[in-house]
Amino acid sequence: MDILFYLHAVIAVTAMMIAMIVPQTIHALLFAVFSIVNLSVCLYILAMPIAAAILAIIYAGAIMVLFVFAVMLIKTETKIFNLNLSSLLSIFITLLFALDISVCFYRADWLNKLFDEPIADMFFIFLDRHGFLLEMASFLLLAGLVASAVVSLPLINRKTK
Amino acid sequence: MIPLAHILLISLGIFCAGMFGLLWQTNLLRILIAIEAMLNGAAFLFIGVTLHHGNIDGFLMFLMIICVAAAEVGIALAIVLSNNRLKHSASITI
Repeated sequence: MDILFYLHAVIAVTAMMIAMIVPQTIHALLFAVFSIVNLSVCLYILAMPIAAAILAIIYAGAIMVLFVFAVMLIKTETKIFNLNLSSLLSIFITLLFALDISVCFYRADWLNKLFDEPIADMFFIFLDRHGFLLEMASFLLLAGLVASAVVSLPLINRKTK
Repeated sequence: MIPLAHILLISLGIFCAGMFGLLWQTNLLRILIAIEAMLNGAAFLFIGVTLHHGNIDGFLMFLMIICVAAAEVGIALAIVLSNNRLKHSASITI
């Protein structure tokens, strides 16, 4: 199972990197969906089936499909990857960041601290002890719904006049 | 048993791929996809820390990140569509 995990993880990271440099937007979306599905398989192998299902259903099934609908509505131009100043600068900043975070991971001692609390019934704990977080998440989603409706409302009125 | 360092490296790889896309792309939709990749990497990191520490808080943060990503995508795509109708382009170049 470890080999399967590493295989899917490498595919996920590679597909996400390809999604960032591929010229067409729809191809980038398909690579991103492929990467997310591979990540959900990784989570399933790590014995987190609920997280894997949430990632596959909400991320790949809802958010990325929303992007596909947006791509249908917008005329997007292609950008071919070549080594010019902007791409080299982007690669340099990203590598610097990756080096920085890797050093932080290596030096941090919080990785070795183990907590004793076992993984109990997830949704019981979620609804019982962390009810405020649940309410906050639902309010956040409602605010997102209202804000997206408000942002697109003047355009609808302008079109009907 | 997968070591935590390997999970951290995978999440760092996905986050850095998204960061490169955020820095390099000039299209608003591609920038949004890059931000989603960064959020995805952070969510995977929280799941790894949940498995390592054996408590539930990382999973709750994972759910929170998913909610934030869903709300953010709804608003951002509405803004992108409005911008596209006004400027007839999704590019951020001046």
